[in-house]
Amino acid sequence: MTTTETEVKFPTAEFFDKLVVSANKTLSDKTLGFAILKLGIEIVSPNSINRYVIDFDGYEINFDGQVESFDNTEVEAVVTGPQLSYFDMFKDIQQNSMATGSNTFNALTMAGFPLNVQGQDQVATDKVFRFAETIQHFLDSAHQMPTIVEQ
Amino acid sequence: MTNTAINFEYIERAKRGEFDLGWLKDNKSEWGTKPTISKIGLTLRDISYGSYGDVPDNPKLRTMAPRGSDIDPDVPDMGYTVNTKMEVWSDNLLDLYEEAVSRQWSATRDIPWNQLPELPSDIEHSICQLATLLSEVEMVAADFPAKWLWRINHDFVEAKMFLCTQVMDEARHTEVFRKRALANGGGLGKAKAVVEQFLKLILDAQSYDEGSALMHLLGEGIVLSIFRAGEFLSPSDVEKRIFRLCMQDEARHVAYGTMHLKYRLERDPSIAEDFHAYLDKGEELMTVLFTTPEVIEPMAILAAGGIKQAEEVGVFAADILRQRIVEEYLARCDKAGLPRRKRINLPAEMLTGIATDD
Repeated sequence: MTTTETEVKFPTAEFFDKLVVSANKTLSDKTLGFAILKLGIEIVSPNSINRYVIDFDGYEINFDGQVESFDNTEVEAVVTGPQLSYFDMFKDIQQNSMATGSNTFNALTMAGFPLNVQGQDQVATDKVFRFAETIQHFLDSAHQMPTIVEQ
Repeated sequence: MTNTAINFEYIERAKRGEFDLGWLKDNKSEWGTKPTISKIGLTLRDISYGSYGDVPDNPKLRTMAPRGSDIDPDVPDMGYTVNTKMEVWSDNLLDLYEEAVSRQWSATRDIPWNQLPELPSDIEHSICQLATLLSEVEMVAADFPAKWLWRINHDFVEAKMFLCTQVMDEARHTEVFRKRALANGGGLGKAKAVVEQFLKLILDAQSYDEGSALMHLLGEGIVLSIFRAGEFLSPSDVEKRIFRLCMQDEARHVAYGTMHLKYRLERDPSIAEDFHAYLDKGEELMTVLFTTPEVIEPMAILAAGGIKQAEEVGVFAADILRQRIVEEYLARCDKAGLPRRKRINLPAEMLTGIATDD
């Protein structure tokens, strides 16, 4: 999983590490308010499933790493879906500086496909949307990253 | 009877430097205790330490005196009628209040109004009709808490503070949708009697229990799903931002409503049937809302991308949305400990794809 200065591979821990750094640069102005949420991201491809833990911790976001399973994490809700849908979303963000049309986080998860948000219960699922703008900001921060190439 | 006469003798003594200082000597507070400040600042949870954090289930007084203060024995009765903690409390209240205050936004400043594109007439009409509906329904979620706020015992001040944030949130939602209807050459659409009937049901609720179940759980749950759908169907990034910001606020209100009902039922399961009866009534009107053209058609047209295409795919999109609304509502009822899957008061054709076993 090597990268050049102009490229970053997706999905990798390096990608999410860089995404968190990028998001935190602008989140520190606190205009969106704080967010407290431990979110799992599950990316499914024909050959593998990759899982990552993102910790929205007040006015900053932490990347808690790649995990084999969410079982022993404190993840409150998991976003899951095919790698292609995630990749298309990030491509759209890089092309337009932000997610547009049906590539926003809410739009992708609205009907439960192509991405689905699954909380421990409905209150946990709803909690994700209490921070919809912060999550969108986090994802949109990919526009400041090197070009994303599919793994 | 509280003595409100001016104490001239005290004024003379104070002039001579003979202070009373009773307030200093008699203080029973937890002097010397300090909270641990959280990473995000000093929160309500941080200061809920010792006796200050004890919220009585049945406060003896009906006063505005801050909970935990040394209270005069002759304080007047404020006439509160909601004097049982379980009537208003929820375990997530303190956090939701902090979140609400932190995540406030401005419909004037934070929406990029000057980026609104000119839209085809049918799309502009649809978004204006949706904005009309939302501007109409959102204010009841300010009116209802406002109607009950002054009746709630001040010992439950955190609940009152949270409801104040809701009043502000809903004022902003009413504002932002009114602004959207008027911002792009369209205008306000139709206001329907059936919608007003639902709002009246909430406003006329005989108890906070009834109104909260109808509003926080049922009504705002529906609106949260409409906000999510609105973001998905938005014709431009301007509406997308409006709906995203609104959905955050609405999800907080629904989180309160669900967890409040859970708190209530855990402490008094005997009233479950009352809540079932409130929701039976609410769901009846929900059925009518789902068959009201002014509610369904704008979203069908937005989903299809135009009135012509809506004839083919719009109804399908509306079905998906309705299914989502009902499923999420039933899941919230499950979480609250009020399973309604077997009891839900909707016609069978509106329950396609919904799990109706508890």
